[in-house]
Amino acid sequence: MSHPASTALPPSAEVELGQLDRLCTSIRGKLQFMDYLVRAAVADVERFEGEADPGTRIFLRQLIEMHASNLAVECENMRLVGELCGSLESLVNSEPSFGTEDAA
Amino acid sequence: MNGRPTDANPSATALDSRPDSDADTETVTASQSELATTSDRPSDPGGSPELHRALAEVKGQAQFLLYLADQIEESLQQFAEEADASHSAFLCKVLSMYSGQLEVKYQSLGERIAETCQEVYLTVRERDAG
Repeated sequence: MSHPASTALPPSAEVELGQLDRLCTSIRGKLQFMDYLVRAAVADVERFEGEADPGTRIFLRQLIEMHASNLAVECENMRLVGELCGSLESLVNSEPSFGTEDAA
Repeated sequence: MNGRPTDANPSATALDSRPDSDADTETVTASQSELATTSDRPSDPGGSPELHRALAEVKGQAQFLLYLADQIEESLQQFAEEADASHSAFLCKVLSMYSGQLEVKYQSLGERIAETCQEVYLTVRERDAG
């Protein structure tokens, strides 16, 4: 490894950091995707309202449905992540030890 | 495109779905006005309203499939050139959405085309019999 011996992390910590890095990348990608879906859905609804051709209206309707359904799935996933975070937090808070005694 | 779908227009407005629409409209308008001067009869579009609705449905769905294929092609190109990991993750999600839709909508278009062709066949047969 290129890390100096004094600053080298234990293997388990390196694995955890790697996992955290991947998780952060995934979350950023997910947020970018949600932003894309919102922008696309709004732009397509605006175009749909001004469209007279039946075929193009059907095309736009399909696009809006696709973006909206994917956005709903992503939002549901985010809600589940939020619930998981809440559960983890309450689990940690219910434990009396883990540093709180040391800090006191 | 600058390689970032979020920065570029992400909607269908980026794709000109009807490149010849203006020219077509002009042609139809010109021919209709010519008919109006020679005859007061409204132009018969031919076929039932249901058939025209079914044809519009086929055209709309086909347009959607074409759009998906275009977007997949473009996103794949960006994905191959992308260095940023989070943007690659975003492109993975985009590609997954487009390919999933392509797979599902392809089947429904096939069914719709079969129904429409049947309608066309019945219309032609009615005319022949009459």
